[in-house]
Amino acid sequence: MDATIKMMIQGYIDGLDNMHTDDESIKKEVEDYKKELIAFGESQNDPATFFPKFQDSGLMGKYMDLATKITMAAQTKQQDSPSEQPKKHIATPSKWLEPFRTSYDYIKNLPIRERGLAVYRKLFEIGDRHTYITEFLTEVEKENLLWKITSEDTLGILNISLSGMDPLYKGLTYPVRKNIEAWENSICEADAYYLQDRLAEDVARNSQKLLQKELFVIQLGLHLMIYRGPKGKEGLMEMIATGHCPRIEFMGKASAMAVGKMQARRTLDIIKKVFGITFDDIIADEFLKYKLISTANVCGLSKAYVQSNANILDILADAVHNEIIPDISLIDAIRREPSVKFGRWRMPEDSEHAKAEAMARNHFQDLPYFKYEDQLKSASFHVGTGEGFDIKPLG
Amino acid sequence: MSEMKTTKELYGLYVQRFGNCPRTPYQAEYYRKWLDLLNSCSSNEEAEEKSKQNGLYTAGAAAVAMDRIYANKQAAHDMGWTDVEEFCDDILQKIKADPYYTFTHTGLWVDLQAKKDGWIRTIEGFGRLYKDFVEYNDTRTDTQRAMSGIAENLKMLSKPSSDFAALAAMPQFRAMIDCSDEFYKEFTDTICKAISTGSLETIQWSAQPYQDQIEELWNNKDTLTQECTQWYSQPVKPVCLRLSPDSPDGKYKLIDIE
Repeated sequence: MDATIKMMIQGYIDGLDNMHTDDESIKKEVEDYKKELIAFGESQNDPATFFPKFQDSGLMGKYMDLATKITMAAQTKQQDSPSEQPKKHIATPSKWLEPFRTSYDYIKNLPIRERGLAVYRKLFEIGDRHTYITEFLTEVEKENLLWKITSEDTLGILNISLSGMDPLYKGLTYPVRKNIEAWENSICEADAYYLQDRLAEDVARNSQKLLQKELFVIQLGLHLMIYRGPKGKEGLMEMIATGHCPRIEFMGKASAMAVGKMQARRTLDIIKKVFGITFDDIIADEFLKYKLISTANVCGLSKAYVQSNANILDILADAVHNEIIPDISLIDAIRREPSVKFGRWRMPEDSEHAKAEAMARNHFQDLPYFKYEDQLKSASFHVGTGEGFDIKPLG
Repeated sequence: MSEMKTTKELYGLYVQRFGNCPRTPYQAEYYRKWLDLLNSCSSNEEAEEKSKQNGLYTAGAAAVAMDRIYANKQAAHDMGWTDVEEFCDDILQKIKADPYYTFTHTGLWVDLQAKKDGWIRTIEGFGRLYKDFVEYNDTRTDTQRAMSGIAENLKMLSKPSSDFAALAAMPQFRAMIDCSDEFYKEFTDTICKAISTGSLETIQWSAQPYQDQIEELWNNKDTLTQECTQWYSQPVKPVCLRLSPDSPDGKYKLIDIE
């Protein structure tokens, strides 16, 4: 068992042992519970996700149940024999909170857990104000703090992750936003189970749906690149400009230009038939239009991209409006003066990727994701009921 | 007596929270019974003794477990996952007979997840089949790749049916696909045909219709030298960095990488 998890498990065991009871039936329950607890600890390997999983397993609920029973039995005993002052029989908030302090100590230096840590601190502050466990638990329950340790912790991490995403990229942000909604609306473990099940189904259905339109646009972009780029029109123009025109290569590029045009026209027709939208609608969509070109994510979870020349979309739009849709001849397409000055096509080089990443990181340095990126990557955070939520950067 | 009062207040709060949540009827009932018991007793000792006699004393863990199962059952019901709902019903009965059932039969969670996974995988598989179709349909050239994808993704279909046509006819699957009815029919017809014939239609793309234009271009390339040289001599614009905006309503910011 991981040393820190062992310490946490021991904290819960000590917590129960400190709440000493003479009741034989409770004693048996406690012993059975300890075995379950140790088996659970053996099955865990990440202290950072221990507590939410502990809560999900039902063992937290059972711990609460046992603690309450021991407390009631102890109070009864004290009322029966007040002169004995059997302090060891009374479960104090301080003793009860010991395992929570162990969990807290493990994550207290992780700013990404701040929302969860704030709940722990509130719990300890309430603990310090009370001598009797029932009074303490009553105040804790009034604010639903035990559940909030998990929900606030998870919400904190999800919101930090969201800050590292492109807000226009709905296919990416949708699952996280829905997850946040589910955790904000859950008030207990069973509630989270229900909402997470619904979420899994909803995300499976809608995340794909959100990606469907861009799939068509990506394909249109590939055809436009063939038509307009170095494999087609631009390649031909370069050959003519440099006077280097081997016939086979020339014919190959001219054919690519022709096929690229036919395929682009067909895809434009399909897009119109499927979605009822035109090329202008695509260009008017701030997110969708960039799916026409090749871009690479340079940092975060698709937070910034590196791409070719800034006015590339204008060039593609110029070609679509003045050459592809009117279907002018290949020679006229080369002869015509484009409305946009562009120069030659150029894709970013490796050194420019690195430069772009540095510029983007500098720009986004104050966002929580970029502040705590290493912490986010170091653990696969648990954001559900028994499920891991693995946040991966998109290429 | 004041301890008794605090205990009652605490249990009253539990009743309130679990009673307000539609997923936790068993914990709500458990704490309600405790509260009733506390209200009918004059001391904690009396309540404790009575709870041991009526079984309430050991019912807490079972209530937690039952609500966990009940939440799964409710979600399954709301989504029409009938086998998952029946499985949960069966487990609830077993916990009623043995309050510690979930603690002694931990494999049930794996079984439950496996049942749920079947539904999710079907949804994902259906979506992937559509992606296969869209990619194939764009140029209808790479049929081998498309057939291989279709064969693989058909294996993901299992619930409520492994039959693609049956799923495609269900409104919940139709709703997954963002397209016109006409295109949806083209999608389902194509996949059904691929299943029955093991093949897909191909388009032979050829520049033949443009052959005259290509020859015209070759023959007149020398007359284009001026336009092309003018274009070629333009300075190459720098590549750029595109930064995402702060909100879903914002616009990207483009910065040249000099």
